[in-house]
This record gives sequence, C-alpha cells and structure tokens, in this order.
Amino acid sequence: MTSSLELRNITKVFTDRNTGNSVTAVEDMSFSVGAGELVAVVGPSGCGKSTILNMVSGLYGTSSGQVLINGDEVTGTRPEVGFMLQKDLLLPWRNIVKNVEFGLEERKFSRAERRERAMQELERMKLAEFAEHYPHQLSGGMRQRAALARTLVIEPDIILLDEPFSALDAQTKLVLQRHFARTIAEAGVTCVLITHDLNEAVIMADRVVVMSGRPGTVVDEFAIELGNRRDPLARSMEAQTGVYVKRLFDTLHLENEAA
Amino acid sequence: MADTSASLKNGAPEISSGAPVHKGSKMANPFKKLTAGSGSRTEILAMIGVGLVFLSIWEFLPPLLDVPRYIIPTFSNCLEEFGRMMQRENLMGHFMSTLISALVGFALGGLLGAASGYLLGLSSLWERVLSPYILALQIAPKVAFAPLFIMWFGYNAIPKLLVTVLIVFFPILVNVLQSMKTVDRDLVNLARVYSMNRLTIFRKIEVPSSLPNLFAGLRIGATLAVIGVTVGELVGGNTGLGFLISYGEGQANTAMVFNAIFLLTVIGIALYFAVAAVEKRVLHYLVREDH
Ligand SMILES: Nc1ncnc2c1ncn2[C@@H]1O[C@H](COP(=O)(O)OP(=O)(O)OP(=O)(O)O)[C@@H](O)[C@H]1O
Ligand SMILES: [Mg+2]
Repeated sequence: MTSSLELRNITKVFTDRNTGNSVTAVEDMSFSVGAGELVAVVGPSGCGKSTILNMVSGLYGTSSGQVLINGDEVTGTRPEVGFMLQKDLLLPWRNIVKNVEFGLEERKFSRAERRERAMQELERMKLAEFAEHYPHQLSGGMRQRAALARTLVIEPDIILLDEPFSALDAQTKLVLQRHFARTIAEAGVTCVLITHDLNEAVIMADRVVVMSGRPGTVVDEFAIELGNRRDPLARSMEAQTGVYVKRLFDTLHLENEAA
Repeated sequence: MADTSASLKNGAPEISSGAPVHKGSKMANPFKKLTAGSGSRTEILAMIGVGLVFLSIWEFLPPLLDVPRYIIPTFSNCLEEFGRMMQRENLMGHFMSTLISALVGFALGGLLGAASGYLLGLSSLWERVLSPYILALQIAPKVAFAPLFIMWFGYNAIPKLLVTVLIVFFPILVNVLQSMKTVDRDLVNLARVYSMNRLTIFRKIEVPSSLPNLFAGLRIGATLAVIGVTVGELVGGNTGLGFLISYGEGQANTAMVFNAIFLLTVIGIALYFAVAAVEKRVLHYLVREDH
C-alpha cells in the first residue's frame, strides 16, 4: 500500500503576472523518499519548501524536472496524496466530524460509511467526544489533530506536512509531535515533513534534506540513526540528537553567510 | 480563516479565543447598540427615560412656543391623525403596499445581486471586463432613475419595484464578488487535492465562505429597500406610505407625514432584524465580538 516518492531535477520558475519578473523558487532539486519513510525538509524561509509540496501534490506543475510517485509522473492531484498545512484548514461552517468526512465525499462511500470511518479516525485521535463541536470551539492543538484525522481518513499512501506544528505553543507541540509520530508510523504512510524547527526535523524523521536559500536546492542530506521514530520525546533526550541538530545548524548557518 | 493561535490549556477546549473574525462585521452595525445594550438595569431605565423625556418635550414644547400644528404636530396630534388615517385613508392598505413592494424588491434585488456576484466571481475575465461599468452604476444615484422608470412604465407598481431592485442589487453584488475574490486559496487547494471539481469547490468552499459577506450585503440592502420604495412612491403613484407623504404634504397635514415616516422606519427595522435573525441562524458557527 505504501508508495515511494522521487523528485528528479526539479526547477520551478514563477512569473509575476503584473511586473513580468520571474523568480526561480527551486532549482535542480532532487531527492527521494522511500516507501514508509519520513523525510524532513529544512531550509531558510522562502527557499521553496512549500513550492515543492505543491508540486508533489499536483496543485501545479514543475517548470522542468519530474515528480514521480511509484515511478509514475505526477501530472495532477491524486487521491492517494494527503496534505496538511500550518493552518488547519478546517471548514468553520462544518462540525468536526463533517470536516473529517470532507475528504471522503469524492469517494464512493455511502453516507453511513463515511460517518463510520470519520468517527473511527476521530476515535484514534481522541477527539470522538468533540465530533459535534465546531472548529472555533477547539484549541489549536485539537484543531490540528482534527486536520490530521481528515488527512488520514482517506487512507493516503503519501502525506505532505507543511509546518504542521509551527503555530502551536511549545507544550502542545511536544504532545502533538508524539501523537503524529505514532499515528503516522502506525498508518505506515510515506511522509514529507517541512519544518523550520531543526530539533523537530531530527526527532521526527528518518532522513533530513537541507535546502539552500532561494533558489532552493539540496545542500545536505543525511539519515537520522536514532531508531524508534514513534517516540520523538525519547529521541530528543539522546546525545546524538544534539550532534544532528548541530550539523543542520552549521549547514544552514554557512549557507546564510554565503548568501 | 480560523487562526491556529489558540493554545491547549490543561487539555480543556478553549471556547472563544482565537476565533475567526466575523468578516461581514467590518462595517458598522447601526443597530448593534440597540441589541447589545441590554447590559445593566440602569442602562435600560435610562434608555426608557430618554424616550419619555423626548416624548414629553415633543408633546408640550411646541404649544408652549406657539409652534403651529402644521409645522410640528404634537405626539397626541400624530396619534389622533393615526387613528383617522386608519379609518379614512386606508392606512393599512398603504402600509401593506409599501411592505410588500419592499419585500419583493429586496428579494429580487438580493437574488439578482447574489447571482451576478457569484457568476462574476467565477469568471475573472468577465469581472475585469465589466468592473468599470459596475463601478459607474454603483456610484450612480439609483433613486434618480425613478422618474425615468415612471416615464417608461407608467404610474403603477413597476417603477418603485425597479428602483428598489436596482438600489438593493449593487451592495449585494459587490459584497459577494469581494468575498469570491478573497476566498482562502489554501482551502480551494485542499479541495483540489481531494479531487473536487470546479462546481464542487464552488458549492462546498466558495459559497459557504462568502456567506458572511452576502449577509453583510443583505443587511445593507434591507435598509436601502425601504429607501427605494419610498422614492418610487414619492415620485409617482397613488399607493404606499411614500404616496401618503406627498399627499400629506399637499394638504399641509404634517401629522400624516410624520406617521408615514414612522411606519417606513418600522418596515426598515423589521426587515433589517429579519435579515439579522436569519444571519444569526445560518452563521451560528462564527464567534462574534458582540453577543
Ligand atoms: N504562486 C507564486 N507566484 C509567484 N511567486 C511565488 C509563488 N509561490 C511562491 N512564490 C515564491 O517562491 C519562493 C518560495 O516560496 P515558498 O512558499 O515555497 O517558500 P517556503 O520555503 O515555503 O517559505 P516559508 O519557509 O516562509 O514557508 C518565494 O520567494 C515566493 O515569493
Ligand atoms: Mg512555506
């Protein structure tokens, strides 16, 4: 069920509609994510991290290069890809369970089946008792959990996370990182996690890809050999974690100085 | 949309902070104070007091200053005239005529305005092509069209209905169009990732996102509808409260004019609160700053 993902020499140039100026957001970028692997992507602000996710999810095409899912070129949005942003993107006019059902509405499920799957997912996220609540009645952390429920309920093979924890306070963040790590590992999905938080990248990922400033390209890439990806909290206690964070810090810092 | 800045405190859900700001409430709500002021008893008493003071000044001051009845009729003069109008002038009929015209004009104008807003919102090309004309028509004083419509359609219900439709149409069109242009792109992208087509995105994302703006437009339209009907009736026709105003003016019956203005205000307030009540039900998921 799990899929692999490959980015092959991707370049993306944006042209400003008003001024006609073009901006190269990412340039000749390549990396791959194995089936069931969680790869974190870090890089300075504006280096094209979100741009990469949009191309992987098929929202827009590349200027050159290819995105491959299980060897197939991505040409549009696909049902097996789930996607989650810093903003929870819950629809304020729907209650939580209907928000979770949202992704299922384009699938061939009966109404009852949809409800059942959504409730199961909420159960797993420990949100079942809030099923009838509206998003504004939930805390930021709960809303983000609801967003994860909506992402996972479609049983995606690949999920793309764009800074999902960056709007949360430190405490909620820790709880949620652990919750996400466990849930994602249990679901066995392939995952790309974009983050600004170097520590988060190290404690959550199997591998980290470091990008340069704009135009973004890969400047470093290494495996995190800490084991036990399900427990980021335990990982963060290990001495080796600091070494990895230091390496990321140095790489990014040097990049900044060169720029 | 919803901001994710709220935090988890002791694991309990936070009920109201970090709430989305009610988009439609950017414009001043002229009746907010009336509804929200139910705070303390003294405030209510003061409110009633002001009303009573006003009524007694109105009742006793003009006779004291020898202001004639045809300039300022007293409160009791107006009440007396009200009774006479009920019996002799078919006040109820005129009231209903104005009310129905306002309702029909509001409904038609609202429907057309919303439909045009959504259609233009779906086509950025047409929006760009038509925007200078929309702007011009929006600025043009719609009530000035009333005599024109009378020349075209004669002394019947059509001119006042047309003025009403026209005057209600634009604020609703503009509000809906504005909301269509400011729909959260990320929500649309989310729907696209879930393989939803254009129509489904319109139905499930764009229309619900636009509702606060639509209702803001409808609230403005509700008050404008009464103005549209009144002008239509003032300029030509032989029914309605607007007609009673010009009829009363011709007879120097100031109390009749006062009463007609009062009833027009009542219609405006009723329409406004009806829209606000529907809005409150439909947009129950929005947390407002006022309660
Ligand atoms: N649709 C677009 N049109 C024009 N330029 C764009 C567009 N999307 C992104 N860009 C530009 O591409 C660059 C990369 O943007 P992107 O959002 O991918 O950065 P990011 O790495 O996600 O940044 P952050 O860390 O702040 O989220 C930026 O300079 C941005 O201005
Ligand atoms: Mg980004």
